[in-house]
Amino acid sequence: MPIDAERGHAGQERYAYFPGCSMETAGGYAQSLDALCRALGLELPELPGWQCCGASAFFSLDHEEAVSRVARTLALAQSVGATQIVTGCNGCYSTLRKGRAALLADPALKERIRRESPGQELALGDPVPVRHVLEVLTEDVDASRWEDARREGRQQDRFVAGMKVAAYYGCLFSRCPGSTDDPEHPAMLDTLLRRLGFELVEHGARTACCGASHALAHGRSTAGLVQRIVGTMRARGATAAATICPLCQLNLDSGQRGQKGGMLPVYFVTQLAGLALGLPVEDLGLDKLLVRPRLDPDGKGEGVRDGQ
Amino acid sequence: MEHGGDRLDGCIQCGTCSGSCPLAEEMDIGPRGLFALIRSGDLKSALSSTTLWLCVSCQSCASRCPQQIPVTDLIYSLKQLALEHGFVPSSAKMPDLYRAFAAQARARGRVKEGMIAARYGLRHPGDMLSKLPLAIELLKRRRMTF
Repeated sequence: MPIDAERGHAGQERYAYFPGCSMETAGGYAQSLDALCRALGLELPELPGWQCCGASAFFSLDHEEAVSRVARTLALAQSVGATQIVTGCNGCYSTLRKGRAALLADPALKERIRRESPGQELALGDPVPVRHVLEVLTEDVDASRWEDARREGRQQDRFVAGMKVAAYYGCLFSRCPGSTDDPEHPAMLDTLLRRLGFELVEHGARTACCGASHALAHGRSTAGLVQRIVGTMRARGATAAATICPLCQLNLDSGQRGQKGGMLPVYFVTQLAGLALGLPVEDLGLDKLLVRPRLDPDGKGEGVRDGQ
Repeated sequence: MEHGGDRLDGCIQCGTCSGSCPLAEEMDIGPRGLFALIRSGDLKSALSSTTLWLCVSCQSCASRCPQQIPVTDLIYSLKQLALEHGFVPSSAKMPDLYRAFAAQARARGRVKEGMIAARYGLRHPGDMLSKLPLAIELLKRRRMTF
């Protein structure tokens, strides 16, 4: 059970948490999610033995192998009795949902994958749904639970007040199969952050592409994408960006070298939520951000980076 | 074609896809032009285009297409066809990145970004060098593992 049922906040879902390969190096995402779960009494047990979702690489190379990888993950979740897979990465989220949709749409492919997995009983009849950490935090943890947790925290307002946050969704949270948010104007991250007391800025880059893995091979082309995104946020008065994906965060965080007009700290949503609940700053992994936020009272607007 | 190739018949050449594409300017031909080529029967030029390998799979085009053509899925299929039939242009770098990624995922179950970058970098040392300052910064912040 994800949340203490006696408090009346629980769905009856049993989550299987799928960290994804990028979580390990995502600056403070895992750490802050962990701290947040403890504060909220939210249980996200890691899916034992999970493997890479396959990302866009496998769908570019071999459709059937790509779907087959996803099928294994879905069957694995089912085998541990989970009713939902939860991930905090837009790439994993989209890949798992895409593979799941392909299984449902193509019974012949599903049968082939089942047959070609000797020794593994792939239970694929009714594959478990795939959800994002943002969805769980916004839809499953109700407002009163957040309120309770905020009351238990201390001094949270000194971080929240004055911060102007630009919510950044990236491409694939709102543009994947069966997305629950609007593809062009997603609102869920704004909703959650407002609930936590943050001031949000309106801006036009919330679903603009960060360049994803092309940042390695086509860095010169993707640098312009990041500059436009960060520039748009700054022009709208943002003093912080909120992200929900390790790769989006890395690209926005690392792509500000030489950016005119100062740098924007790029937080994970879980880090901002942790600040809003007044959780100990050292539990939120903020020291891992490349553009590090100045959290003193005068430093709301600026980030600092080594060697700049 | 496996994934929605027949849907191309509905393409009205409005160019919403090309207008929505974050990297269209870098492509030798935008998605709209790519589909015009395919419908004219010039599959060879289509499969040899850089378009396929610059597609970031951001789904902007697909979510905006007034004819609901699954553009991104189509491009995934075209990439596989191009690889299968040897039409990948020599300038395309993403196949090496995808292969480095897939090899590691197959061998180890999970991937480490540092390892993928290293393996990719053997074939593309220039990209590797240009990312060195970032790699050092990430290492210092314990954000890169091998």
